[in-house]
Parts: sequence; structure tokens; C-alpha cells
Amino acid sequence: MPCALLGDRASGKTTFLGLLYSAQVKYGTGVHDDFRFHAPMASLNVMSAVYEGMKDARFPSATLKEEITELSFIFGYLRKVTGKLPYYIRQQNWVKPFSTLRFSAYDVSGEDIEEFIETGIASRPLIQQLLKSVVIVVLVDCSKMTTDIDTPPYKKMLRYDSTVAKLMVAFQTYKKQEYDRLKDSGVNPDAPIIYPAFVLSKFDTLRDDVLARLGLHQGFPEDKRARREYAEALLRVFVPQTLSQIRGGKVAGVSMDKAEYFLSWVRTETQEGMEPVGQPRIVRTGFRPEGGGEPDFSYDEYVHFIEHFRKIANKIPDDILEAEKFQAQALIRP
Amino acid sequence: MFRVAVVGDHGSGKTTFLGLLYAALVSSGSGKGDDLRFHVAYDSLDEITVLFQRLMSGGFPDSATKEGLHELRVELEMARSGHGVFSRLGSRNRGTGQAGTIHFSLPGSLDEASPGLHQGSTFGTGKWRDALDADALVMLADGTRLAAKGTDVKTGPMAAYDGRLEALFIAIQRWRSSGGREVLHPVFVLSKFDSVRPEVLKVANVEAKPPAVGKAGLRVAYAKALLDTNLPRTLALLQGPRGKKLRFAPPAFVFSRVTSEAEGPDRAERIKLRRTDGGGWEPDYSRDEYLAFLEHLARIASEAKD
Repeated sequence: MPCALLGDRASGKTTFLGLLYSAQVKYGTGVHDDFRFHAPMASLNVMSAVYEGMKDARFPSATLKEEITELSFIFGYLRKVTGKLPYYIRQQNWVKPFSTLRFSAYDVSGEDIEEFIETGIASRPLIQQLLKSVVIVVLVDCSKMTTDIDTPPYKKMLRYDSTVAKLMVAFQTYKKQEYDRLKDSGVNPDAPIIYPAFVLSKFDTLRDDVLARLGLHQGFPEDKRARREYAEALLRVFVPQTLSQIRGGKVAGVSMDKAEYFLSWVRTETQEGMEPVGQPRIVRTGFRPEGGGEPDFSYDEYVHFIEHFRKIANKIPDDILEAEKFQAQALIRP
Repeated sequence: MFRVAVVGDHGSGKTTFLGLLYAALVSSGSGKGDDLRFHVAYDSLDEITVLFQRLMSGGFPDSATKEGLHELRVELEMARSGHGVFSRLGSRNRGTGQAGTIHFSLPGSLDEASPGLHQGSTFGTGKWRDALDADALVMLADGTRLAAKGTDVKTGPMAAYDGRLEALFIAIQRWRSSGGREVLHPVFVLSKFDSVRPEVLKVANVEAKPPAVGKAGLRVAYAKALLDTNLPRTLALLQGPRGKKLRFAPPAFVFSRVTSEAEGPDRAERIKLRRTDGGGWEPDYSRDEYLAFLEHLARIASEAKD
């Protein structure tokens, strides 16, 4: 089942994918044998190249729109029952020991979706595919968050809030339209299901004094409810329109109430004195004899991200299979 | 769909009113509580988010923003008050909320409407059709133009506006004489209320600050003390003889205030921003008045659905 990774331009999608690749390498080769990661060769090349660059302290360069829409990867989670069957049984075609989620990264703007909603025609097939996703991961760029009013970054943040809010509303509108269309066709569909997740990217760019003013600590809590409250405290201040529309989706019949939040940060070198020129350099740990080291990033959050989708992966295939059946029935009816 | 038309003369604050209403929605919709949730219609987003950005940056709407904004459609759900412990069950109890689509329209400035409309005619009303068909009519009365009690009502600063409002109501009555909604909810918004002249308040024998939102009776008396002098014909029509097909609900009143500051002698006024509880910023405005207005709308919209 396709899952979408969304974010506005320069929100950190490529870096996120590189760090996710890094996290899954470490996580998948650890003691846990119940998680698998797979990506097509082209995507794997891009993600591993980004990762290798980050091991050399380099952030990825700005990605072209066409490049990122080619990226995809699959999470596989060993099922509790079929996954524990003997190896020779698991190898049979009829046995599916892993539940899977296939992610595709989309570099889309509100205008891309607007065209589809208004005309029913997608300039790119990927837009239609994106809108069919049940799992959506949205990157919210923390580097745009500021409380310094009367500054260009503040106005930029206001514009960014409007952009992301529009993306949310577009997505909800499309899902509702599809639901209404199926109902009008005589099918009795379930309410639209979306499993949203929000990644607060570039979290290291938020200053401690800003967090303190919001009554927040540097680290993300462990508890699910506390995590949501923490994330919403940030969104409430910096992107209130976006948060109001995440919470308002339920009114429109497309609930996003079960949204999960994750932090993404990469430690960068701080410069003394003059402002640094060009991209900041990534701080690394665990240097190797052959050169390079591991980027210092929010690894635990990425593990949390990987684990979060385990339950959803187990749940989704059956639900969506039913929905797809209904949709097929609706299409063949006169 | 519950239709609300927002009318007023040029410069009375219609666009600012709608922008602050949206700001109140965003503030409550993103708040920690579960009292209010709303969803903006996709086709309303472009213009209203531009206006929101402007207000949140401390700017009043400019002419381009005013030209672009003609409507706002939202789906609104507000938790009903007075349900004790059940109201605190949050999302599990959302079924008791008041939900519905509310469509706000700005047909334009009343002083720039067609001469026919000013005489109560429904012919050639164009975009004023929204007002003729509305469930609620929000009328802005510019607080800076309020005259003191005792002023000649025929020549006072709001006499012409009073005449135009009366004519609009007559046009609505004619329009609906052969069908259409049978109830119209009038709402008076006294805009720029922080700039009402002190002598006006003194002569009317009212405090500088209106009564709190929960004190309905006192608020009605307060508003009438100011509007009886300024909009007597409109108020008289709303209380007029029964028997007509169209019934007017008792009017509601909103006292809208937004603090502004001039940056210099030749600089335009800017909206003063204040800190929110969460650490962010918002315009310094009478948020409780706007929330009370939304609650009122949600209630009457819900009753209209039933």
C-alpha cells in the first residue's frame, strides 16, 4: 500500500531519507530480526549516496523536484504468527510472513494538488497516486519557526504555515470527495482512513530560549500523549493554521486525530565569531579508520518512526483490501 | 448551509472583521481545549490565509486584500456548554457538538451598492443576492462615527447608513414575500469600539467597556443606548409590526476592538500584537467577543438545521 512522504521545498526530505537509511542500517542489523528494509536500486543509490555524504559531514545539495519523486522504499515487519513459522513454510508463495508499507517521497506543493481537485486531472500521475495514500508523513520545517516579529523570517513562517495548511486541506478535501463519490455510486464505504505522521525536521535550529518560552524541554517525551502535546505546543505557536486544520479534519469527515509526531535533528558544527559561509557541517561520532563517521542525529526518533508503522502495517492491508474491493465494485456498476 | 452576509459602509471594517473572526477560529481550533474545531473550504483558503498573514504581521487589510476577499466557507463544530462532566469527555462526546457549514459573504460596501437597493428594490441586485438570501445579516456600525445622544437623527453621521440598512431590510422582506427563509438573524457589530469618542459614551451614560459576553441583558441595553440615536430606523424596523412572512430574531451585538498604534506622524496605523499564553503572537483584539459571536452563530445555525 503506497504511503506518501510530503513536504514543501527545502523542508528536509532528502536529509530525512538519508538519516532514515542510516537508522535502518543500524536498526535492521541489530538484535531485531523482525524488520526489513528494501528499496529499488535507483532509490537505494540516492539514499546511500546521501548517507555517505553525511558520513563526510556534508548535507545533501538541493534536490530537483523530479529526482525526489523517484525515491521509494519498503518497510517490512515480521508478522507475529506467520513470521514465526518454520523457514521452509515461510518460503511458500502463499505465506506472507512480512507486512509491508511502501513509501514514496513526493515533492509537491499545494498548487499541484489544487489543479487535481479543481479539474480532476493530475498533471503528473504521481499526484493521483499520492492522494490515494493512506499513510502520509508530512515534514514540518522547524528552521522556519521564529517568535521574532517584524523580521523577514517571521513573515516567511506565516507564509509557510499557510502553505502547509493548504496542503492538509487539499488532502482532506480529496479524501472526502472520493468518499462522497463512492457513496453516490451506491457503495457504502467506511469513513476515509488516514494514518498521518508529522516529522518536525531541523529541530536543532530551534533555540533553547525559544523552547523555554514555550515551557518545553530540549528532548521529546517518551509517552505518546506527552509527545503529541509537546509537538502541538510547537505547532500551535509557529504554524497555528496547520494545527487547526489537522485537528479540524474530523469536522470534514477525514480524521487526523491519531497523528504521531517525530523529531528530526542533526547536530551541526557551531562557528565562533563570523557567520559561516555555505552549508553547515555535520557533527559525527564513531570515526572509522577508513574515514568518515556516523552523523550525530536523533536516532531514537527514527527508530520510533520505524516502530510506529509496525502496527499500521499489520492493520492496513486488510482494511485497504476491503476498500479497494468496494472501489472496484463501484467502477463496474452502471 | 447557513448563510451569513456581512454588510457595512466603505471603511467600516468588514474585511478586518472577517480576518479577526478567522484568527479567533485558528486560535481556538489549534488550542489545547476541545471546544471548537473547524475546517476551511479549500476554495476559501487562498484569500483568507493572505489576510491572516497580514493581520498576524500587524497590518490592516490593504485594498488588494479587500478586493480579493468575497467569501469564507467553514465547517464548524463547537462543544455545547452546560453539559457538566460529559462536556469534558472530549472527542468521545463529539456527537453532542453543533456542526454545520457556515458561508460568510461580503457583497461589498453598502454605500456603493446600486441605487435601487437603497430604495428597497430587489431588481438588479447582483452580488447582493447573498444578503437577500442570508440566514443572518451582520451589520457593521463604525464606532468612530457614532453620534452622541441628542444629536439630530436625520442629520447625524450615521443617518445615511441607517437609511441604507432600512432599505436593505425592506428589500429582503420583499424578496422573501414569495418564498425563502422565514427567519433572519440580525447581528450588529460595533467596530473600532476602542475608538468611540468618550463624550458619546458619557452622554449615553454607559461605561467605556461593554458588559462581558455572558451578560446578555446588560449588553442589549448597552448597545441600544448607543444605537438608538444612530440607527433608529433600522432598530424600529426590526421591532416592527408582526404579520409579515419574514420574522426577525432578536438582534445580537458584538463589540469589536483591535488595538492599533501609529508608527509615526506620517505612517499608516499598524495592529498591535500581543503575546499568547503559548508564547506566540496574535493581534491585540477582543477575542472573547468573536468567540461569543461564533458560539451564537453555531447555535442559530444548529437550530436552523433542526
